[in-house]
Amino acid sequence: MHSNRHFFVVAIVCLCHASPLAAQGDIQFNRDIRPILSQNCFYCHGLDQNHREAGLRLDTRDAAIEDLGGYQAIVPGNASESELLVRILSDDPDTLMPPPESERTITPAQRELIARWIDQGAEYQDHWAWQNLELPKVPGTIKSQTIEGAAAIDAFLQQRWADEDVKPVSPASAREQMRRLSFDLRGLPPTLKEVTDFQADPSQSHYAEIRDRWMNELAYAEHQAVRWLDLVRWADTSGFVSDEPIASGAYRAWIIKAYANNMPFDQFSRMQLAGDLIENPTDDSLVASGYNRIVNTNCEAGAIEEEQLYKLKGEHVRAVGTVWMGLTTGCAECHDHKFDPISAKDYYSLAAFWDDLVEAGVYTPGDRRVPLHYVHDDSADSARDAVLTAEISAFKSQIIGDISAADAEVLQWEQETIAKLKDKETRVDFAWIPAQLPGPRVVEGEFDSIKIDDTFARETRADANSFYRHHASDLMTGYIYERSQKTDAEKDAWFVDVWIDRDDRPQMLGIQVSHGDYGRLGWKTANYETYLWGEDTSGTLVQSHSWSDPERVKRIGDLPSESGWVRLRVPSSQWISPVGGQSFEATGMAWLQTGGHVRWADSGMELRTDKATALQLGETAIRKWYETPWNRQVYQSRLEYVSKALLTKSDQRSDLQREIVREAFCEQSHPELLDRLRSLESELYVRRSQAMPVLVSRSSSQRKTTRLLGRGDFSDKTGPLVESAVPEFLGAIEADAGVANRLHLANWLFDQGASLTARVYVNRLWHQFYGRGLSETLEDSGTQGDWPSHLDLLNWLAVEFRDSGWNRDHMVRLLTSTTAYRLSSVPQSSDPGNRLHARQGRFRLPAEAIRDSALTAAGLLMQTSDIPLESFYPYQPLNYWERSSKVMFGSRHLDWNTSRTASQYHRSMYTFWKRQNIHPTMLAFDAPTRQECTAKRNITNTPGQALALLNDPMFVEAARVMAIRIMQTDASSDQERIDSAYRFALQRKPSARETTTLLSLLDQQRELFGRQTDAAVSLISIGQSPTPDDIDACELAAWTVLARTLLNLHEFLNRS
Amino acid sequence: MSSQKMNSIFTRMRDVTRRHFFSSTATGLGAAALHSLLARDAAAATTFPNFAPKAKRVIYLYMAGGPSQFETFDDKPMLRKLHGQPIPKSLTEGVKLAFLQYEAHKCFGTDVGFKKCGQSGQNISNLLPNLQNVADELCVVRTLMTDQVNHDPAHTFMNTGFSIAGRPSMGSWVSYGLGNDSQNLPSFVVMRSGPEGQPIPTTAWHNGFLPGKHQGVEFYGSEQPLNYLQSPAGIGRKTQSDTIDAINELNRFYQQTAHDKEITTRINQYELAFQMQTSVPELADFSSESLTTRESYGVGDKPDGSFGSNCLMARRMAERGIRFIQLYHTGWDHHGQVVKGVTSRAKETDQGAAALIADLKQRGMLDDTLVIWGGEFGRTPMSQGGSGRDHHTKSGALFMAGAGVNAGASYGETDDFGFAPSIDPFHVHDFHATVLHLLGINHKRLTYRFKGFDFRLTNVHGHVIKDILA
Repeated sequence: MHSNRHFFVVAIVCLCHASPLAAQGDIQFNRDIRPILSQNCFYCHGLDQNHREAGLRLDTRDAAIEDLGGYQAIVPGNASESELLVRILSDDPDTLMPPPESERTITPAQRELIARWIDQGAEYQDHWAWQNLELPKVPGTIKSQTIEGAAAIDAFLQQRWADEDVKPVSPASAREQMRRLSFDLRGLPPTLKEVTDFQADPSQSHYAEIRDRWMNELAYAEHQAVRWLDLVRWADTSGFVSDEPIASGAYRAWIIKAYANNMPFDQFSRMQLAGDLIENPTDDSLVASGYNRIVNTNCEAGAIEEEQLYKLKGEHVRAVGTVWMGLTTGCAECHDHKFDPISAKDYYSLAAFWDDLVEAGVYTPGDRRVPLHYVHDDSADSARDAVLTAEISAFKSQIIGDISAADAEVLQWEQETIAKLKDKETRVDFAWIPAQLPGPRVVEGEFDSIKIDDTFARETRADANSFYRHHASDLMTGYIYERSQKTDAEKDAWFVDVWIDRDDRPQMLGIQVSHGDYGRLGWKTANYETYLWGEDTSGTLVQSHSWSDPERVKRIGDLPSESGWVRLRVPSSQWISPVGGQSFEATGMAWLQTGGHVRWADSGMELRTDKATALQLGETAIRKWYETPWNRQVYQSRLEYVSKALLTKSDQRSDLQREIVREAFCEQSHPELLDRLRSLESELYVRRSQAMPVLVSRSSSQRKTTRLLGRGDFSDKTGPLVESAVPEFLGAIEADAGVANRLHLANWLFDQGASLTARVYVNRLWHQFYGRGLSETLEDSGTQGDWPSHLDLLNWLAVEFRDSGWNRDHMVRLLTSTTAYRLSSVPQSSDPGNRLHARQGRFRLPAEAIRDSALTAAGLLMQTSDIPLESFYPYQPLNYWERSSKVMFGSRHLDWNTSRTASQYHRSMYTFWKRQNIHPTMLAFDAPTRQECTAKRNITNTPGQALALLNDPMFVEAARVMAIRIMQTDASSDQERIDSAYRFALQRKPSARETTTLLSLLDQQRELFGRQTDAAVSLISIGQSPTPDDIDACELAAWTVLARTLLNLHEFLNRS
Repeated sequence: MSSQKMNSIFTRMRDVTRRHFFSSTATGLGAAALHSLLARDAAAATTFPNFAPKAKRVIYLYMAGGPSQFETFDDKPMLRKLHGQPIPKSLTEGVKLAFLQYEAHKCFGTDVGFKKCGQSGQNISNLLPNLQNVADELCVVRTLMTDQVNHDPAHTFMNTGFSIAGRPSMGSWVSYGLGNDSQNLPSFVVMRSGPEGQPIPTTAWHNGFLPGKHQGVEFYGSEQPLNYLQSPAGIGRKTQSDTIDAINELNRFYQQTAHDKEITTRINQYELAFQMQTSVPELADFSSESLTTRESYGVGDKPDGSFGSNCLMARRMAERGIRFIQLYHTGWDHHGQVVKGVTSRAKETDQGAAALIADLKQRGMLDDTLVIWGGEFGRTPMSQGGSGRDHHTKSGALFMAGAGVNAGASYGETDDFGFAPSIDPFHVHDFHATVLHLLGINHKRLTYRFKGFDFRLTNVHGHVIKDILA
């Protein structure tokens, strides 16, 4: 292999240097060598023992200098004797390292570095991020003097400027400082007044005063929260194909509130990882525990439960790695990590922290992710919720826990029930929706619950000739595919028992059967069938509504002539046919009246006994799995689960079938207790239908198990079961007793793990306020990550953060108080990447800030002190979802219902965040889909952005409303109006040439619109915000064009 | 012997050599030699293509839902013979199934009928009469294997080589590697057609960690194919143009003090956006196509959202230099009534697909356009519920046609039951490696560093399947 070597002897050494510092002779393993070895060698010669080639390991010094039988991979102090060098310099493809087919190459400069490093002794270093955190010496300090706070940060930077002979740029203008600070803190531009005030008094104290004022605004908390939402991949929806809403709004609000209250980062983290495990969990801590539940969940019918449960574990492992540890923990799922000392065992041990969570692997589409916690507006309701929950639980155990019945008794019940399940002769009513509504998730319209003569009823009244409707859907009694229940066209029927006040008779009564797919109410009018008796003198039902189509309204007959209790029935021969061959399940009913005073009792179906019995038995299974996550295959069959179990021979029943038959027996043999239970459930769930559901963590008494899987394959049962633990190289959790849980993990992150946690966090903060991370790989502080430009500074900041009690606002104040923060951002050619921070960073604003700035310029942005619990729906291109078939059938949730109220102008961070299809403008401006954790957003510059800014109605409307604002100033000339326009959008005066450009644009457009009034009217009609009647359309159109121009400027889109 | 088998033997032999490495060369280097060797140039910086490409662009007809190979390209008389009988347990044991976790495994023979077509004798289902006519252009693969048995992860895997969201899709990789060949259109475009009900995860065309410009841009099958393409009501072309002129002028003023190179980019992007407002609708204007051409695709003078219409749009995009065009057609998930289902889908797609191949050929574009037809996985030879087929990871069919493809050939054979490959398995990673190869890209060299790792479309896998190449 050495035969070709002489060819190269004459080559001239001309090296380009990878690192200026290294070139000066001081080679550091971590900074200079590890990245090269890591990229080129560790893949086969690293930690992963199953993939280690030739038994050689280069990631530890001991292994690398080991005597391999007369030679060593590395001979410290002697590069030319080191086999490593021989190999990387070889020209024989059979011996060259890295091997040619790996397509990896070590550059000449890198080879040179390795050689010099070996010659200098081949010293290894522990990885910077994992070393114990110690306070570094601040440059320039002498014994008697300490430099603290922002001055210390400046000192670190200045030291480097001196070392590298770099001069910082001059300070930014007062206006630029205000814009920068405002965007960094609030994600919004400053007001003109804020800028001019500061221009008048640009003192340090005034600066600090403004900053503190802004930090007290909700806007500050909102903007700071966005990065956290990216990190924890907060979204409104579940992620995989069906991508349906999860109840996550309250969790988002909690995060914002936590920022507003400057909750210490350790507490903030503990609440999210383990808010359900702390002592005496509160509404708030439970809401925070939603962190563990906003994972991507699947509901594909063919998905395998066990496999999906492992996928969920993976979500947690990747998230905790990215969010807190800056570790790519997910890489160790199938094998030991190639670069960082994370073994596959570490991966699964980390996963085991979430084994206690109550969750399912495969959900049913449309059924809300559970368990939920309900936050009531009123504390009395919360208290009642707790009481009812406890009582229900007690009743349930009383009923199901009763094992006193003799076997013979059970057998007899089984036989009787089976006989009914086979009874094709007699008929019986199935009271699908009892008067006391059973656990409805959807309740529209109000009613009074009354009890007369031991009978419950819902009492409703309507003024003469006026229409009234109340509706309940997604009930605890399940959903019915009614067409499969039919055996007789006349005898099978929908029914409702209703009491008519003889002194206040209605003009019309009606029922509506509502439908949807997978048991949840759909949104299309085709989902409703309406049947009526009498005359709808209000004229309501001849009109179209979101809940009724006149084509799907059928008059069955006259009102019953009698008053008092009567039964209205719709025989199946009269049922309205489904539309387009798509027949969905009945999910609920609405009860209609025009005028009159009535009481509604049970509603349901008249059916043959076998059919009705099977449906009635469903109650037990539904109750068992109500608000309990359960595998889709079982869960979806719940309505008929009990009857099928009963019809299975007793010796062939599965454990689950046996269990449920027994529970059904217990319920049926305690009719009084069961009635009471139903009544409590009804009260609780009607109450809850008005409360805010929140997806939360709940610990199960039965932990799942986690096995160390071979190659990540869930079906591999050969690996050992693992217990929860942090990656071994980072230490161990000392749990007081038993298994370490999520709370232990959270505590560990801020105790033994604090060095890493603090570094990862402050690095991201630096990025936020200076435009780049000190280590630029915000998502990876592992060995493959970027070597920090200022390690001492990073460590200093981490110590400061930790020792401040994890006080985030303290850090924000520090970072915004430095001289460096307030420098101009004009680039310096000597340091294009700004690694020395001799200037400020500059970058395009995030998606949210762009729309929010446009709305601010227009004066449209809605800011309230209430944090919205629900997302809003800004304008979105027509059928962005439907046209593209992006929505599962029948999902009521995913009809893009453009917000028609002031909520249209909410801050962009509250945009409905559908993971598969985030708003196209947000997407264009690099907002992440939040399917995975994002530590750093991309920043791109594309024609799609131009199209969105120019043509998306949200920006066109903002321009129009800004134009109205401009025209309504008391300016006396166009020039003055252009001055105002600049103040609104950019908080400065235009230059003379800017004014000239815009005056000419204005003239062109005036002339153009003057000739095309229609065009002007069209333009100023975009968006729902009103235009004053007395405004000149052509003039407004021309100014809209001008305003739109400003909203598209690079300066408008950038923080500098 | 198949190339893949040879490949693996070669790999093994080489591994043996490597293991001896450190003992065989332990002689050290002289200092002078060390110095000189250090000075050698490393391999030139990676640029793409790595070698002369056969294909300049790809049109990928993606049949979403998992098209059944048994009703399209893999005829199995044995299944008809043993219809309704249990399939040998030895085949199914340990195999991950989706719905058939819960059901008996019975052979399901199809009665759709197959025909040996053209000179090549490609055996193609009678449900695809038009594709039968272009049989000699196709290289049919019958041994497609994937790792994922459910739609969402399988789509993601088929497109990104990984089952978890977050990696770039093949189109994004190609765009990243080869750049944009079109003046005023994106380099990676996605269109959809087919019945509603089962959405396709958008992760399938996401750019992952690659820059956003490599994301698949979804075009609609209408006259305005793109969001925000139309100027607002009341803003005519002149006003839009005046506005962009003003924006760019003001940005140029700002550039003089800000010295931000992004400003130049932004100015260019506004120009491009303005051009796209014309070029994209022009793309969607079929009126310049001859009647014969339109009829061959079965469309009128406007896009109508059908698969045939999208195929014609794809050809027009190919002419304009769009690098990677993916046409999704949904509705191939036939757990029940598979014959009926495939019949419907075939009626919707067969004509367009065949017309596209013929049209490209006639224009001489098939020489440098790679056409791919396939889904995210195949289906089981066993029936589900008597009339349907479940998802299947062990076998499935796809075809490639055009640039650099061995036309009229077949690759891979499944066992008598069509359950798994008997020879020449074709894994998703091999598919990716082979497609990249046709585009002149060495799949091991197309990498991007993210989270400290040099990611590839093929992860650490993938072999270029030489038998598929012409």
